[in-house]
Amino acid sequence: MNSRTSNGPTPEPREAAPTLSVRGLTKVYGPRATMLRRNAHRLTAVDAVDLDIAPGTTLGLVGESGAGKSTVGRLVLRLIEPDAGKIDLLGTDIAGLSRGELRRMRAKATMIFQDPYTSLDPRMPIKDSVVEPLLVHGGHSRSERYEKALAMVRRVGLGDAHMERFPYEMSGGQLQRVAIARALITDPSFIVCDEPVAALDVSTQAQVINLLNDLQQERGISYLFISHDLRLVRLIADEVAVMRHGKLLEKGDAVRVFEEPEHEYTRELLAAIPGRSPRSRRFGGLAGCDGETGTADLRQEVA
Amino acid sequence: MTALIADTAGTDDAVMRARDLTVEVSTEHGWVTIVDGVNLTVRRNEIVGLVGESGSGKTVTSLSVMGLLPRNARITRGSVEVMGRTISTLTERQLTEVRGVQAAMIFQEPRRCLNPAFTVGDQVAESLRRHRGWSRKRALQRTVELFELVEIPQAARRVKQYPHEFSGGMCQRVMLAMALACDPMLLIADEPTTALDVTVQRQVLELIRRLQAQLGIGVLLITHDLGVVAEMCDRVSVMYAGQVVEEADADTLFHEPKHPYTSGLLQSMLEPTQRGRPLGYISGLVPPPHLFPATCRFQERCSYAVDSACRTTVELHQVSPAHSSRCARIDDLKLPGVTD
Repeated sequence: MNSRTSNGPTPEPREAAPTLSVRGLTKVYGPRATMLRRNAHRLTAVDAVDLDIAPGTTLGLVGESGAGKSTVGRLVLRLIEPDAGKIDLLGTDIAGLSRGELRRMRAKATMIFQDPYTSLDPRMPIKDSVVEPLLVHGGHSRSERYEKALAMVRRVGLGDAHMERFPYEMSGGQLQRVAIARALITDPSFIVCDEPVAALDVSTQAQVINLLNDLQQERGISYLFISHDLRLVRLIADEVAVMRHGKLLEKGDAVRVFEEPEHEYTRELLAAIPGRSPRSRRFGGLAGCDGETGTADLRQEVA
Repeated sequence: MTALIADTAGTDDAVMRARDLTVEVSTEHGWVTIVDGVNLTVRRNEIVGLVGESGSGKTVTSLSVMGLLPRNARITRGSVEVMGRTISTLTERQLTEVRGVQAAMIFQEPRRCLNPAFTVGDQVAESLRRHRGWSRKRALQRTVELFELVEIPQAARRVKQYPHEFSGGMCQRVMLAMALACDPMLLIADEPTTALDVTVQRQVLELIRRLQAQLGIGVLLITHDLGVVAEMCDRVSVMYAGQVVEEADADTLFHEPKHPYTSGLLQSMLEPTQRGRPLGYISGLVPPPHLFPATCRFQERCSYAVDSACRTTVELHQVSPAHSSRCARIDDLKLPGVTD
């Protein structure tokens, strides 16, 4: 499907069981019916979503705020409990796992959050933040843990000096690298990346995306890459799923979805990507603009 | 302090002009220069983009235009004029005549700028009542018209609602209505769509562009998204470490950049066409203000830097009358721009 997945050292053949397989995933928020209140303000945040991610590949989950993307990301790791649906993660149905089993599972399936300033403990030096998952999962001596942490910190492009620093002493891009190191230290085969570069500067975004791509090739990790920025998803995803109002509208091969979107909403999202130069403007209704890409539908919506 | 209505704002249509603007802030390292000798002009009927990474000084520049610098900051050299009035010489009272009436500003997070306890209509009308002395009724009537101008549907009903009843995009429209209430000639938009969804971003940007053309105002658009700049701007100034490093009309800047930093930003632009090719990026970080070097400030991160030429202070050189770059190797470098 994609050249990148085939040149990388894929640990398992393509026909192997999917890393993640989700059927009918549903999450409903709002008060449950009580004696006094029936079904008041119920919100179906995720509505019967089916997803599959093959080993060593990336599924890009796109949609606007409130679409339920992040909820899906949390549900598939059972950070929140689903109301319905079946989640097979790394060949295990995680619905039946006990707390301890779930914790062990999370060594193999981890998460990177949007804002590294809030996802790292401000009072912990970087080395402790990176080591912490190993501590939780046990099985290493103190010196082994720090050796592994140092190797990982170096792998994500930081120096030895960074190990002793605190989050406030570092930039957003560096902290996101720390978050990646922390997610990788237990050698996971699946990572949920929830808007991992949304809080970063453009020049830094590129570095983090490149790093994620390299790590995937090196280790055959699968990503669920959640983003509202289709330009990013295009760069990293093998397959794309488009969500809106909790429902999956379209999914398929990334190239196909970008080149021949089937759903009207996907086309709308694609039309909202800004052009790359003043000569290829894509927005309609602009005085003195020479772009002409199919934008009539949007203009109507604005008017 | 007497001549309030200054000379006719120069010979051209400049609505805002910064000359050699230099701003210092008080930090633990003493007074540190964070904006250094910035020249910037916005004329009527144009959108000027101010681009740079966080820490490049773009927001501080815009705040000094509005006379909104915090107390620990001071302008030490140069000046800012809005419609011909020099901001630093004005009293607080005179400043309120500039803010809102001659120049207005919208910000990144519209919801944070609105008071949740008052209706949006009251908040927009406030500016008309205060600056124009209009009655409540008259101001509210005009607010409905303004809501129609910024394309808020059912304007008459919406003015009576509270901010929590508006989506992010609609809040930004309310902010635009508020900004445009007293017919300013300059609109400063500081990352106006960064917090918005892509489809909403598109609608708000299209609206800003339409209003700019319709009202004939000048817009200073501050953003780090070069895609937004490509769509919106007529001219662009790129800032790095407190200095303008390149300025040109948008087309020239994107296709024939003359500064390695601009070129690097263009290479790191997300390109929605192919997967797998590693993105270009600029290694390293913007130095903190107290460590701005006296040499070319980009030198440390620049892949074109040579010892001889780049170890000196570099001035803005003119490439052509409307294009200048702060690069010592301006004549012998051929830098990549975007390819269409």
